[in-house]
Order: sequence, then structure tokens, then C-alpha cells
Amino acid sequence: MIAVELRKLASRPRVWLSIGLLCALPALVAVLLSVSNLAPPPGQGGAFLSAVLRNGALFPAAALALVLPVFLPLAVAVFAGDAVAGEAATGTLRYLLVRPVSRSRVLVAKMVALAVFIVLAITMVVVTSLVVGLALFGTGAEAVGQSGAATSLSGVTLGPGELALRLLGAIGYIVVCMLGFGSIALFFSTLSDSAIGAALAALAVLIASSVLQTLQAADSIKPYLPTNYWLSWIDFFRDPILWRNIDSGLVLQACYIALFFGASWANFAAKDITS
Amino acid sequence: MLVAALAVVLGTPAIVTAVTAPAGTVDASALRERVARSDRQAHQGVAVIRGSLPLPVLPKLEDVSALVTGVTTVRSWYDSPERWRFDVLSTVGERDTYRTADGEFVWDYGADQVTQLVGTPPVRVPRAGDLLPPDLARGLLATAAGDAVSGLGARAVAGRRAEGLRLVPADPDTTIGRVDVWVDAASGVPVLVEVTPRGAERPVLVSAFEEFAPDRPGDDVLTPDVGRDSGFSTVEAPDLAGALGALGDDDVPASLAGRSLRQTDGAGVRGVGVYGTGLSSFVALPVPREVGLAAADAGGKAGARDETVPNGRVVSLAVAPLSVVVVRAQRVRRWYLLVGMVDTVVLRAAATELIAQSGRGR
Repeated sequence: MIAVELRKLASRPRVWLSIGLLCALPALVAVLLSVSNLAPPPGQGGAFLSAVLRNGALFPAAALALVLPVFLPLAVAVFAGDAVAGEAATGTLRYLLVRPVSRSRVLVAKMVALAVFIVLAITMVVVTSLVVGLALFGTGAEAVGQSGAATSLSGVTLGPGELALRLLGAIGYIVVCMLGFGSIALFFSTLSDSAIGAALAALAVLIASSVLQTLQAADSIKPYLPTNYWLSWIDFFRDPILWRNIDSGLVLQACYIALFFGASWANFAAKDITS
Repeated sequence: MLVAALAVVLGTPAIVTAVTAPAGTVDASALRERVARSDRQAHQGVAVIRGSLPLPVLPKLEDVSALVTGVTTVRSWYDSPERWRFDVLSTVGERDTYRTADGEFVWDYGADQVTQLVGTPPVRVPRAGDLLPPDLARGLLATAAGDAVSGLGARAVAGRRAEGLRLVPADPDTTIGRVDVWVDAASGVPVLVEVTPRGAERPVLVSAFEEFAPDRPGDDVLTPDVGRDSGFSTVEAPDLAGALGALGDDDVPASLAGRSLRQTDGAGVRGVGVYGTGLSSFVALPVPREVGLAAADAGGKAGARDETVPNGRVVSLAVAPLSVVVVRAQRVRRWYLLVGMVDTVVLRAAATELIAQSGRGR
């Protein structure tokens, strides 16, 4: 069942189109920065953007900061929203379920496909932005005296190996965050026969959470908002690494995954399939 | 199932608090002594400073305004008064300040710059490190040395048992209603400070460690081995005069609004006077014309009271517990800024006297 879902994922042009668009945005920003040689003023703009002009090795981190708030969750919402509701809308869900597999296995396969999509999308963003960054801004040898090295947010020089490890940590963290959000979209997908409706409902959650995060009056509920710790991946690039928010983010997202995957399963397992 | 899971998640902090904060009586005076001695206790942690003063952005003091009007996250490592580090964190970078035997070093990620500060400024512009719970608590309790404190019992702060004391200033002129200080029971280091204006129910300034350990930080985090290939500059430590521009060179009045001059040029900055004692003391400083005009304008937009008095103008703004008065002395063409945690009536009286004394050609 998982193999079927993965084949479906690989064969859908829209999957590759959405990943291509995710990669295109950072590439466009890199070209504009390179041509204009104008980075945002210190302390403003996206994370790491002011530093990439001196060191292309940091551009993957800047690219993640660019796509994480809106574009990556948008792609995840569309993919996860389509997972069950899309099959229902096209009338293939009933044929899927007449096969001798349990609904739980179908849902697990959908979740695995979602995880693979997220890993694939983020990996492609990182790889393409690394290539673009190094090509346009150099290896950082001029900036930090060591090819592939970079200066951490705390000023300490990170060697190529350590930078790669921290980047992997950040990628893993973002994957878990997106999986938490994808679980919410998957839950909506089991509620509706409209893929776009499920995706929009998930995006409504994203927007509501983002709005509440800006309100000081919402301080008491902020630790439980799905987007609260998303930007904590940047803490991998502090020295020492600030684990506090990363740990809290991982626990929160694990709760969201368990809660909404459980709710998806409870709903999908007992659902009347009419389309 | 959904509701049960939510109840467990939302109820967890309350359960943790109940488990880690056994009730008990607190000897407030002894606790105050512990706070005063806590500057030798090493510790480290992450603190969040939440300010909700509706203070307008003061010209050239934007960083200071931001500290008391928003949320600032600070990571701190403290070994001794001579050796510490604090990082002000943001989602796009950080600004780290190190204190070492060789002086102070500031790493600014956004500017890609290391700056060594030379010398100790007589009157320094406030910064995030001053509002960390230990510094803020020691500063406020020392300022109000004559005021009695009472015990508050115990509660959990940063997952540890903390004992509380409350300071209620006796001075009727101060705008501070109460200061609650919660002290880590094991180490004696203040971990939470709440400042509440007189007549208010909620604190307007809360500085709290959300992660705290009374452990000595390692040499690796206290040694500024940063920005090896970044810009480096050495500058004189910025003082108030440096931040605001050239100050006046007049002598300061011996008293204002019935309060004696407590500190003056002796502190190294000519023209700046500190009046009164305790929490109702206030600062009077001459400022350049453009700073005075901008401050009066910012105050006007924030609803300040703008009065024309004989030979001058007084713009007064109360953002409890802080009061700010901008004074224009017409005859000598001077601008002054009066700031303190004191009733605006006191500052307005001081402003009127300042104008009158300027008119006599001090």
C-alpha cells in the first residue's frame, strides 16, 4: 500500500510542480540579491539573508527561512488535503477501499507518503539553494577563511562538517513541524470530499495560529499553537545550540501528529464512503 | 478523545506547578539579604522580559523603549560581576554582550561586527542585561532600601521552587505600587520580578527566567571567541551623553520639587542631576533641541499633557509606573528631559522650577 502511494506521489506532475515552485522562490531571491548586491539591513528581512552575500554556504538556511512561513505549509496543505478528499472527489476512494487492505493501512500509507513529500520538498529546496548559493555568492572562504564554513548567529565559526550537521538538524526539525501541520490537513481531508476545502481549512488554522502569535493577550495559549515553535529551527545555528524551544517544538508537534492522526483514523475508519 | 487529550496538555503546567511548589512560610527580610548577596552566585538560563508600558518611541532611545514595551528573550550565563555574558535573541539573529577581564565585547550578528567597549560610562544607557531578574531585583531592592518587605510564600518558577517577597513603597509620590520578587530557594538568585504600578492590578513589567540552573557556566561560553573574520572596532563605552548627543554645560539646581540633588556632575556627566531618594527619585537632563522637539512630538502623539507656562513649555506623559516630562525653557533656549517612577505632579513642579531657575540665568 505504501509503495502504491509513493508511486502515485512520484508520478503526479503537480507534486513536482509544487516542489519546483518551492525551489524557484529562493533561487529568484538569490539572483536578485546577486544582481543588486543589496542585502536587507542588519537585523531585518529573512534570517541569514544579510549574511548570504558574504557566504553562499548559508543560503540553504536563508532559503528555508523564506519558504517556511507560507509556501512550504501551503504545499503541505494542498498535498495532505488531497490525500483522502481528492480520492473521494474523483471517485477512486471506494475502489481503493474494496482492495483487501484495512482502512488503517490506507491511512498509514497516506501519512507515509505525506512524510516523504515533505522530506523530498525540503531536501530539494536545500540542495538547489546550496548550488545556487555557492554559484552566486561563493564558498565563504573569503568570509570565514575556510571553504564551506560559516559564522553562527553567535559569532562562532562553524566548520563545514558542523554546519552540515546543524543544517541536517534544522531540516529534521522542519520536517517534524510540517508533519504536525500535515496531520491537521489530513484530518480535514477525512472530513470532506473536497480537497481544496480541506486544504483551505488547514490554511485557516495556519493563519489563525499566526495571528494569535502576534497578540500579547494570547500569551497563555501560545505554547500550544501549531506554529509557535516553527521558527525555532534557527536555534540550531546559535552557539551553544538553544535546545529549549527545539525540544518544546518537537513535543508539541508529536502531540499534534498523535492527536490529529488519531482523529483522522477514528473518522476514516468509521466513515461511510459514498463516492 | 480529542477533549481528553487537550485537557491533559493544557493542564500539565498546573500539575507541574502543584508538584514543584509546596507551600511554606518565607522570612522576607532574610530573603532580601539573600538577594543582596546573590551577585556572587553563578547561574545560567533563558529569561523573557515582557514590558507593556504604552511608552512612545523616544528619539535616539529606541532600543530602551523596545525593552519596556515588548517581549525580549535573553539568554544569560553569569559567573561573577566581573565575568558574564548575555545574548539578546531574535528570529533573525542575536546581539551578545560579554564581560571579561579585558573589558566588554559586543557581538552583533546583523552588523557582522565585534565591538570592544573601553572604559566604564558614568551613566549608561539601560540594556536588556539590566532587566534580567537578578539585576532588576537587586537594583529595585537596593533603591528602596528603607522600605519594608513582606513574604509571599512559594511557587514554581522555571520548574524550580521559588520563594517570594513583596516590596510596597511607602513613599506616596512613587508610581510603583508593588514589586514582587521570586527567589530560587536553592541558590538565592532572583528568578522572577513583577513591577506593578500604583492602582493597577496587573504588572506592567515582568522579567522571568523560563529556564534556570544555578550552575557555573563553562569557559567556552564566557570567552568571546567570536567573529574571527568579521569587523572589529574599539570604542569608548557609550554613555547617556553619547546616545542623546551633546548635553548642556550648566550647573544643575541644588533641589527640584522639594527633592535634593543626590548625584550630579560627580557621576561624570555634566548637566545631569539625580534628585530625591528611593523609588521616587528622578533624573533631570538637558538634551539637544532636536531631541527635545522629537520627544515632545512623540509625547503629544501618545496623549501627553502639553502646557504653556510662563517662560516655557511643559509636556508631561504618564505611562505608569514611568513619568516623562519634556521641558522647554524659553529664555535660555534649553530643552530638558525629566524621567522617573514618580507622580507627574512632582515632575511638573520640578519642570516649573527648572524653567524659573533657568530664567534667572543660572
